[in-house]
Amino acid sequence: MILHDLFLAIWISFKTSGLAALVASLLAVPAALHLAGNEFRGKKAVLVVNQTWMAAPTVVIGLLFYFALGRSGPLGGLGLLYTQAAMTIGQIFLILPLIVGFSYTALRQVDRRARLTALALGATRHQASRVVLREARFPLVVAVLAGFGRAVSEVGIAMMLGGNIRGATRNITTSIALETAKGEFTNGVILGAVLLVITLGINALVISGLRSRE
Amino acid sequence: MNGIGGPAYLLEGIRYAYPGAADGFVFELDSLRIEPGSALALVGPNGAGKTTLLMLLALLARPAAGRVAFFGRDAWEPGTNEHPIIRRDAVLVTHHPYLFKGTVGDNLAFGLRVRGVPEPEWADRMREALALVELPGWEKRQAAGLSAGQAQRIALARALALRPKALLLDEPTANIEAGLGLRIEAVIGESVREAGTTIVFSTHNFSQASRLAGKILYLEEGKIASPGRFW
Repeated sequence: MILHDLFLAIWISFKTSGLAALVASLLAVPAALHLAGNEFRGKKAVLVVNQTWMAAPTVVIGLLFYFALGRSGPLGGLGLLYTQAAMTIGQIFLILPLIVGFSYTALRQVDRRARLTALALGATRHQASRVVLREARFPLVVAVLAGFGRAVSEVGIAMMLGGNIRGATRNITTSIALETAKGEFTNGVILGAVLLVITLGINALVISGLRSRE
Repeated sequence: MNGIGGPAYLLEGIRYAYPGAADGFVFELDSLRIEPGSALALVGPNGAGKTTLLMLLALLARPAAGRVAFFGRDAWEPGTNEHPIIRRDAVLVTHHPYLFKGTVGDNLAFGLRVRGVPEPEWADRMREALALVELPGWEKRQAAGLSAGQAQRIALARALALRPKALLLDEPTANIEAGLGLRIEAVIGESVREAGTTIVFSTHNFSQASRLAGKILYLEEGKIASPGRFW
């Protein structure tokens, strides 16, 4: 495996998974805020569905989107199958319940007096929600990082929706699968180590940045 | 209505039930009028409805029925959504106050920021409020790790810095040692006399109620048991 391919695989991994984590967080955190701050009919059912969805195997999500994005599928006309966009969409659906679940737990642990105090001091509902998010910022960032970690390390969706096309949709995990299938175990191990080191670096950087701000 | 010359608070036909309350607690109040610049004490046993009434006055709890007017403005008038704006003229300091993560200064700045107080005024207001609760120069201290008494004083300073029209205090000296408690009472009393702030506070201490308040309401099981006047 040449160095250029390695860097391209790393770039594709972090681009697709980073975007997936960003979009999923923008959807998941407000949803978790709503779930944590309100009681409504069907809330328990929503939480159970979310919990179940968290355990969905990546290949199952990959398969569902393969049918949806395939030529004869309902979204086939978009021509997204075997593109980085398809990989990102699949990963968003993979990590969405994970970030909702972790964020919900984080927000439920914020002292209920935080919101009340903010309102009592004159905050609007929106400003009070921001206070709650701020109070839970550390576990929320951990939730987003966990989502990113899950997306960047999965192989089922990347393989089924991306197709492992060299230079286009081949990321680190599909490269590992390919190198292993070829019997190039050393390359597979090196790629795995690269993935772990970069993920570790991102986690360490974000968490230390957050700690220094605390 | 601009409320000039009218009461600070006018509550009529109030009925409030805690959402999902298992014990069926209901707070009911036929009528209550609180004059501007007066101090009203709420006394009564635990669970009598003192905190509920303070929450209603702070416009943080919406009654199922009845009217809450604050300086002539009907907070829960059907078809309007003005209570977040009206609420900004009152501040509630809870019994176990919550301090946000960050410094004492961050805590004091929060209310000033959300109420749109110009930033150049913040430092003076914070310094003045912290001096009143005898914690001068505490702006840079971390809020985490403060004792209950210190947290209560910071919360009071946070409210005083806002210079509200109405200051609502849930057992304001409960966590504070007796000597300092008396000095805090003096600060509260001064706020009524000099700034004309309307003060409503709950307490289990009858002597505190009689020292500080012009009027005392005794609550029991969610109702006014005996309206009284001490002087």
